[in-house]
Amino acid sequence: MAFAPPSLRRTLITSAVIVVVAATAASLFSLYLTLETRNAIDRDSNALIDEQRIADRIVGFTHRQQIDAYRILQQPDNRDHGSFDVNGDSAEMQMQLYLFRELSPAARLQVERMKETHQAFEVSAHRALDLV
Amino acid sequence: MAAIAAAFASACAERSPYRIGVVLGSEGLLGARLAVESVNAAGGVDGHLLQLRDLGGASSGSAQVALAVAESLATDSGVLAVVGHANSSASLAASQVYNARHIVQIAPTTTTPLYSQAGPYSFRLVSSDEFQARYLADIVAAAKPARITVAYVNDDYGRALQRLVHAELERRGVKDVREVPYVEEGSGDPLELARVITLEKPTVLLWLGRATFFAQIARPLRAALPALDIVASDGFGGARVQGDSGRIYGGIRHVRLVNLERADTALQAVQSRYRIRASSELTDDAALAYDAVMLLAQAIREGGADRDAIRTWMSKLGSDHAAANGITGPIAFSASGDRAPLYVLDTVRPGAARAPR
Repeated sequence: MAFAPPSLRRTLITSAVIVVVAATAASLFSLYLTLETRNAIDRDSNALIDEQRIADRIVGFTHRQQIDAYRILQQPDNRDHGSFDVNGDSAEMQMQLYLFRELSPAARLQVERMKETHQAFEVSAHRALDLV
Repeated sequence: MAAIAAAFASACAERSPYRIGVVLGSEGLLGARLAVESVNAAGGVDGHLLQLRDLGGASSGSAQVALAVAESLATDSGVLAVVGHANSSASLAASQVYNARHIVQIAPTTTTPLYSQAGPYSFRLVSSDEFQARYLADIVAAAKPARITVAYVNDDYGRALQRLVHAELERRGVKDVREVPYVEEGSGDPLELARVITLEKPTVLLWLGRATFFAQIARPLRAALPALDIVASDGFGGARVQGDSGRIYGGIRHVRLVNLERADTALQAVQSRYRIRASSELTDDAALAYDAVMLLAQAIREGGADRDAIRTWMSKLGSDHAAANGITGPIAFSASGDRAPLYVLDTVRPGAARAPR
């Protein structure tokens, strides 16, 4: 029994279907890759923005401590002493929040050193302000 | 008997040992060594000898040293868990390294509240300072002092405890409280601190710091304020205080995290072994380090010799598993890896060093 060769029309239709399926799969894969890349960029950007926010808050709270210190030097007031400590606690809390994140050993060490420097700064400030 | 023990030790030696990293002071280290000897004398853990890996560096409170030691221990795949570090700042700094590397850290004496949030691999054998603050505030308030000065080390340990004590004293209506921070390392100046405290003329000094730094201010402080009543937090303990003749620490009331006066045969046996080896009494640090190593041996035996298996077993202690029996009492952890609070107020007896019990 002999097999009849596929007709030209059938070959063309089959080829067209294969091309369409392959093109669709490629498009979907490309879309998936694009979405994945976008998600990864979003994740990295969000992490960076979060870190920047924490860093901004640390700078903000330490600046407020400096303002409190300036006020105490101008006119000693217990409320400013309290505010100095509260802002210091907030800065420390933000630094700890930063340290609870995933960090490289070098970055972690840098933040830990910053925390120790801040603690020493607070003690020096207390001594100086108590003299006023 | 000796031949059987030797044969057993030889059989154990054929299997690779299980290693535990330790970052402890000399007293804690001796406690950990006594625990290892106990475990190995009983045949080890499933036929494997237990070994300690001690890299030193425990005496420093600096984050740089703590992070370097933690990295070395966490990257050593042979180390199954870590007992340490010796103080709250170092434990907290190192905790993130251990959590990132999925290795259990048991901090025997770390009390800073933030450690509860350190991560799922962080456990401790004491409770958070939230409870100690209430305990200390009760003691100070009961004395009805005319003037209180709170001297605190401005690190993760002291500043957190000071803020909590401040709130608790306020709640009890205690007024006229002056707060004096200090730093121990680098720019820390003991004589300046003694001068500042003396100027405040307190009737009660609440010391939220370590005994070693207090020793440096004791003489000028006592000379200027001979009637000063001093109460200290748990950071104050240790062999140095227990062995003091009373000249430096005499009369000071300080918080201890362990009741070593309990009638418990296992505790008494360890006390006796410690006394022979150290020529001094068992300290809280040593007792807690002993329990930490014994607990890890149990975790490896019952949970498996794998970092994650140890964590899983530890997290179920007191819920799925019965609490462990330590020489410091029953051990179980809350969801945040903390132990139930226990405080004992001890007084350094003036006039004579403590005779061994």
